[in-house]
Amino acid sequence: MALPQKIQRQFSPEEIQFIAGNEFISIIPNFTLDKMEFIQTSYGPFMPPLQAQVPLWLAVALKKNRKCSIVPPTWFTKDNLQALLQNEEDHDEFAKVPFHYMEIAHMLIEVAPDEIPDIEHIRKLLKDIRECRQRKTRDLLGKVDGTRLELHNMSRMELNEIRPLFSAAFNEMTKLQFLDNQDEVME
Amino acid sequence: MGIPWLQKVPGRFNDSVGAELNLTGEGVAVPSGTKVELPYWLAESLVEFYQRDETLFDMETPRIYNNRVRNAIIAGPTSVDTRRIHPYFHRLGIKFVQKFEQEQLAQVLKLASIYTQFSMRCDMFANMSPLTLLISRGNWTRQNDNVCTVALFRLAHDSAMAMKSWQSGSKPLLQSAVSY
Repeated sequence: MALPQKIQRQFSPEEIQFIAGNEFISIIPNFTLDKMEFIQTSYGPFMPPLQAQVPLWLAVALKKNRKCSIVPPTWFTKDNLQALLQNEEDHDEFAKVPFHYMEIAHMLIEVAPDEIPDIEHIRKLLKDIRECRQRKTRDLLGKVDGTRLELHNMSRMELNEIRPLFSAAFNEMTKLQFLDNQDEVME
Repeated sequence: MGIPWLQKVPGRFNDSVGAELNLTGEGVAVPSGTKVELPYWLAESLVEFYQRDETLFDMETPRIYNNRVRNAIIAGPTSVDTRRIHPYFHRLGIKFVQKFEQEQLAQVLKLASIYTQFSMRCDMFANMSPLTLLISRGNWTRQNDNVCTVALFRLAHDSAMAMKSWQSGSKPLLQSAVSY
């Protein structure tokens, strides 16, 4: 392939964000429309003040045109994120988070900062969660032994971030791995 | 994988080799028992030949994997700069590990040391801050790129930098192809 190696190895964070655009989110439209027809499906009806479920990319587009207000997901509140951080700090394993939590948070903070209460606090919490999880990822790297690796509850963005390094490290480990087996056979 | 093959390894001929086979061009016969250093690819092939139940050529484990180095690595994997010892310490080591079964125990020992050193080094990369990453990338990549640890470091570095620029929002979504 003619693509640069960097792009062949993994998705760029922007591409992951694009994929996360397919997640559904609630909006409150400020316009009335029966349905929005797309090739694959249709969204709507839009009837203020009723909430409508739309993909994130559509919500972002509408929000940018000031056609709606976005209702942040339930996990995206100060209390829930605080609980998540606490959970993350208390346990050695990764806590369960929404698969696209980083991308969704990033997009919401970018386009709808006016609709997120305590946004500064939330930003700080997200950063703490991210750092806590990064520390766990680093610990995980020491456990790469060429046999198996448990990556439960990692989010899409985190998996994408570690993929090139972990798969390369894993391959190196596999080269040495067969010796262990031979040794066992000899014993 | 190319370059580790070219690294020279010591060995000893168990049979005399005629003058016409002497690749040095000196035109003299190589008597049995001569100690020589051959590139790994050649030595590896010569080892395969048998004559009267004896191999034509005995490859020896290079000095870079001797007990002193092994012990040093066991004592403190990160304190030994294996790239200083040999630029292909890890890759050539893997070749020996895969090739020889007679030195099983010793090889496993080495395996253990490389393993710890390797994962600890990786850990050190991951601990670096983006700024340190940026500075250290220059230092690291100035060394030989085929070295396993450096290649891994670059992978980790690229990921970390991509994440950093995404989070700071400094990178526009559309980019011209030239800027990559």
